[in-house]
Amino acid sequence: MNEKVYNIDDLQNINVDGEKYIILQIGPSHPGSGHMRIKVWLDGDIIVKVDPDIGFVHRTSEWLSERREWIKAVPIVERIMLPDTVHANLAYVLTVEKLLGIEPPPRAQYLRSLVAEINRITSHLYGIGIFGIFLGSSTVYMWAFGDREPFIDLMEMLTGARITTSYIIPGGVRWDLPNGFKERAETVLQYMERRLKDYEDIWVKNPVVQARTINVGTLKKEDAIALGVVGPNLRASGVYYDTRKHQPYAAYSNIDFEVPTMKNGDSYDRLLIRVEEIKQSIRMIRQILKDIPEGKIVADQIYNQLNPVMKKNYEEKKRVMFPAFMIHMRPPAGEAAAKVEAGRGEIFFYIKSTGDKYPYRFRWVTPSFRNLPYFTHVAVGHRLADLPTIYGSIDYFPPEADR
Amino acid sequence: MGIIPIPLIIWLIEDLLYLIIFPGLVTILVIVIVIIWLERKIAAKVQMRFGPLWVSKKIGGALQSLADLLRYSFQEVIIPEKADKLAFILAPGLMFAFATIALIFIPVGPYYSVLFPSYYTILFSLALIIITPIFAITVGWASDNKFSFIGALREGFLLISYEVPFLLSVVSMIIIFRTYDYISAVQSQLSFLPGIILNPLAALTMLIVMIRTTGRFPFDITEADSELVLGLYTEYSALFFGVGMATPYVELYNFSLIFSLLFLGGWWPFTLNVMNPIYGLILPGIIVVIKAFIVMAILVFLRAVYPRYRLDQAVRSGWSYVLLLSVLSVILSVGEVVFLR
Amino acid sequence: MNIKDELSKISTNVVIEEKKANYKIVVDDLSKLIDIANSLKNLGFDHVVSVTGIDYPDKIEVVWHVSSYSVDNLKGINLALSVAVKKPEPIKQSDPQGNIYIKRPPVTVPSLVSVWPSGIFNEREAFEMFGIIFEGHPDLRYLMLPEDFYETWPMRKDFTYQRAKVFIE
Repeated sequence: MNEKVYNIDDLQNINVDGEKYIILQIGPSHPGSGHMRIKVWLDGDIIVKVDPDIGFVHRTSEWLSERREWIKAVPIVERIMLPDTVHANLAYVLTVEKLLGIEPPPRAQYLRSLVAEINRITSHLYGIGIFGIFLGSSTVYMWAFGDREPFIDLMEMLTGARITTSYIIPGGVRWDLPNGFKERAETVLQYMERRLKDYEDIWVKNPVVQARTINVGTLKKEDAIALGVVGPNLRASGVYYDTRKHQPYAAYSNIDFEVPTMKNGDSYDRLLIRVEEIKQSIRMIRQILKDIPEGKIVADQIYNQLNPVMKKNYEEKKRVMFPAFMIHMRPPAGEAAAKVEAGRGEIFFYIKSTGDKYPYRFRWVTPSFRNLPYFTHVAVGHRLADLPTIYGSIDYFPPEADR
Repeated sequence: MGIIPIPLIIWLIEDLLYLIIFPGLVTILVIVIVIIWLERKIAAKVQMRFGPLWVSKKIGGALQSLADLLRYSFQEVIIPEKADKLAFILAPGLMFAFATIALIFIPVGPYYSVLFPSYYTILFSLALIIITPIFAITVGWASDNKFSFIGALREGFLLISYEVPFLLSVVSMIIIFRTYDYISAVQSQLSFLPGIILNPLAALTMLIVMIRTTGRFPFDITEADSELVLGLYTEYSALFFGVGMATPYVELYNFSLIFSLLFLGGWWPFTLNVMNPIYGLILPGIIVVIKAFIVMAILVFLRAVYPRYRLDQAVRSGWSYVLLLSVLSVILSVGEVVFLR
Repeated sequence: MNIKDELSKISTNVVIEEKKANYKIVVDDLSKLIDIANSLKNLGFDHVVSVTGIDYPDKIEVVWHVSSYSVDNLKGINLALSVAVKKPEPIKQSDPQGNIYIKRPPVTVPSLVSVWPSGIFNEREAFEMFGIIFEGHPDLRYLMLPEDFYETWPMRKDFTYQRAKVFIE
């Protein structure tokens, strides 16, 4: 075995003269790094090279999921993507459903889209807030985190939990729409529409924000495609790609929505596109609540597995309790892949089943992991003060990238 | 052994009174504590929060800053092994000391004559204020930390790019008032017009420089926490950190006093020119301090509105717009002096 | 453009299960891998979504999932490009303390970073987790795992972990 092929942390391996440059270790305990280390080579104030050292919050979700029953992977993947739990849950369940061959009923599809869009708004607000504190604006940070609350309350009303909802199960969802949800949702959406104007006044149109973000961290369309970045960042670079449009899942093929794209691909565009997507999500939630069809919220295959007590519970409380099938689930052998457009981008699941009670290979890729090239490719040539701008604008979330 | 002359005692006590109570150290302490509290409270109001409320809930958490100060006093002092220990310990103290000493030369009333009655108070106070950032650079250098070092470099860059506009804006006021003394500057304002009307350009320059020098947003560049942890004070702890953190507020107080003396008409509308401690110092002093406090409150409010600029943007605007503004203010002053008088 | 025809032009061994969204090209010969990857890229598959290994008792399957951002009718397809490599026999070794442990040598496949630069971090992860050395990777270092996982390849099925020793000062 050739020892020179790789090295654990071969810091001398990098073709940058260490004498000439300041090597700055930003993180892992640094207010501007998150749970990661960003190693920066500085020529004066200019970044020469960036080496993101991730893995500080690597939680071995793949390893754990391969050694557990299928349904137990739901809370594991949720806890990796904390601001974006519903999408992680949904992506995993979609993959398992492909293996099982179950198709959820239309009402469940709509409920999935509903909770996913609510979650997308919270995720974008989280991203805007973190971007705010990275640029030094504590106001936007507090506002965004405060305005997440109404949506989290909506999620709690619908699913029974604020963040880690575990709402989506193979074949459907666990709870039906509660009474009074539509009215509550309408007030929250109106509140958010009012607040978006405030955000524009103090944040989006702030001259300091524009000075800090315009033409900073520009990723051109071709480079964005070649580097394989995902989600709002990709669309900010002008690529028209959204998994909700191109690989429709849940109810997205029936919902009318636009995929906003920007032209320049700089940090300011990445900020704007999140605001636009919040507007689109508000529009989608209104549509879903208007169009949601009546019917069962789980597929018949699951419903037939319920015992009489559970069925009574289902009829009375509109709640699906777990049938024993869930824990003894053995999807037939084969492999399946699924993609979901989460708030930060595209989650990819690839699961190989051998017909066993555990998954044989459980592979998933999170959006933040695929946005890593922003550090290595985009930050180079900018000033040190631009690193937090780029970091905040791509909405990078280290626990999500480490999985 | 004779009778101790009573007037001497009164004279001594008066001087001590000025030094310690008003407008001396106690006032600085109170002002710093209140302004820190106010800053947090204003930001909290904008940000849909309560702000400090744990300590002294009944008066809105006003004692929170005092509690913080006590906490700093009793914390363990940690000095990094590779730090330049003498400079590490001395620099924050000297920084604070010079910021405080500058206050001696800033009168708050016509009867102000503490230790150095002088016709050159403007020059003395400017000299002492300009010394302070040099110790900030020392602080950054002494810590032997890359983040502190970068913070010190940024402080140096900003220092040289904003010092010239600052001095020019004061010079333009000196040209108008034809004096180097605050008291006569105020008196010439009382007899004519306040400085902000006489030369608004200089007032604007002064405000920008105040924001920059005291590290308020959007010029919070040397302590940018998402880039430099805490900039200069990354390695500092305990009382040294507390002193370092309080210094910008003392500077802010100095600048605000200078601003209200040079531009806001000093103790206007109190124009009674009586030379005794009550009417010559306490009452006009309170008016000046209130004016300064309003200026401070406006400046700390900026925290809730603006994020921070980048270093190169700040330096560029310092050498272009702000310098231009200050040069124009000097030209305006010269013009006024030539054509109006 | 019929995706099935296009893919079968590139390789003879194509598996397509529409229902599971499973499109797969199985490459038999390692030397053909880069050619096939290049022709896929010319077809319009422009980025790598995931690179991973699958550990079997006798072999390791390396899977590149590719997709397209630029060609409209390929945007809905997750194509898997899979190649299997035989695992070398494990080697028994003893450390200076006399403990015998089993060293599992890595396998080698060509890196596709030259074709798809987006796979750079994915390939680093597959390398540290499965012991797959990607030949031609510009920066093949450990990405997430700390030093004490050196050459343990934790995602392989025969990986056993030891309880961490507790240090008390």
